[in-house]
Amino acid sequence: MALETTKRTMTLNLTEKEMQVLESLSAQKDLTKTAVIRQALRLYQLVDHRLMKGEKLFFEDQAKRQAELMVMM
Amino acid sequence: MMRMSNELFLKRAAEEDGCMISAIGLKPLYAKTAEPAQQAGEPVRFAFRTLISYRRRALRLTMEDVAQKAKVELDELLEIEENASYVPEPRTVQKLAGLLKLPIEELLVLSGNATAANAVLTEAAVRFAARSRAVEKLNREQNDALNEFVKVLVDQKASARKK
Amino acid sequence: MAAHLDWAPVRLEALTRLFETKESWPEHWHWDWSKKADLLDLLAYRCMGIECEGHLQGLMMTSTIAKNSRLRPRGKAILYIEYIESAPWNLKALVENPKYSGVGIALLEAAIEFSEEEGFGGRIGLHSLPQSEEFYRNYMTDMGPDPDHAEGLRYFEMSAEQARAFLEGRK
Repeated sequence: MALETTKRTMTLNLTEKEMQVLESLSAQKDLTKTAVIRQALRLYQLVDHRLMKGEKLFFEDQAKRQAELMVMM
Repeated sequence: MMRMSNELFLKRAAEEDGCMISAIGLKPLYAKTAEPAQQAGEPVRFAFRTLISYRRRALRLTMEDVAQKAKVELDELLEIEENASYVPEPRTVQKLAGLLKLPIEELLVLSGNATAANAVLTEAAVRFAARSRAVEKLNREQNDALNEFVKVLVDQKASARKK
Repeated sequence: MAAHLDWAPVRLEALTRLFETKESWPEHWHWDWSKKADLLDLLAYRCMGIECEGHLQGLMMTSTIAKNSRLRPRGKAILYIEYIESAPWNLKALVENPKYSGVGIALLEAAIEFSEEEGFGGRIGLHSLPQSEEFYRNYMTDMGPDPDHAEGLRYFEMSAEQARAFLEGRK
């Protein structure tokens, strides 16, 4: 069922702070650190794709007032 | 990784019993976001009304005939053919498309129920509206206009299919 | 995606025959695939189809980043089903003698498997069209109409436990 079975290995050099964030997200989300990185990559690619198409990314607060998040690429 | 046993699958499949399973998520897959240029404006609505009316007459049907055969209300048909701002229910448009042998998706765009994928349809509708006039019998010019417009609808449908 | 287009004439013809029923018009027809095909290049999206006898019987598109879990434990990653559909000739609402049954079950199972592969524990979520709610209610938690959904569809979620129960045949 799995699409791609060939995987490549990469060594990641992270700062102490970055590593802490990675570990924290991993614990919080119940995901391996690899899974967290993969999710981050997917999210980054998607956001970039849409920004390149000319769309904008917004966060909306609870009261439904919009705050625009400018992501400079 | 755990998989369903074959017996369980067969049992569940039988229970599924041809049930609809459709689900649709958030924005990415919706085509509903309208680009202003493609939204049905007044000339396009006029084209829709005129198309229905002309096509009906080209097929030598009275409004009563259409109402009866397509199983639509006569007053709704009157609204469609004569009321500038009336947007018929998709189901009614579907019934008319079936009876009058017109492509349904394009008709839904023209009637104001959907947005056009591109400007070709809208432009053709505007041209058709401009060429049309309200008279009792279709004269030759109107017949030509009608046939040309219908051809665009059919071509649109065909090219939408190819994608 | 081209294979998916041979559903359209069958669907249209079946819907044309259904004038008399009280079914509301299914929304499928205005899902414009031609515009959305570029999503398939993105890592977040995965598309899966079931083919039988040379025809596409079912189609599903999933996202790993669209949603977090709302069922407890909350905020966990889930596999979100952006789109799922069975070919019109398999549906009793559209044809008298549906061809294949089990397309929904097979795709749900596949979704759970994708979810597990991603490390999401089998958690899945989707927004059901009204005509399909009955099917999903058998296996997932109905979390009610979602005000954030463009059409206000009901959101269904399957927890890791529900996923296991689904695969094992427990209720």
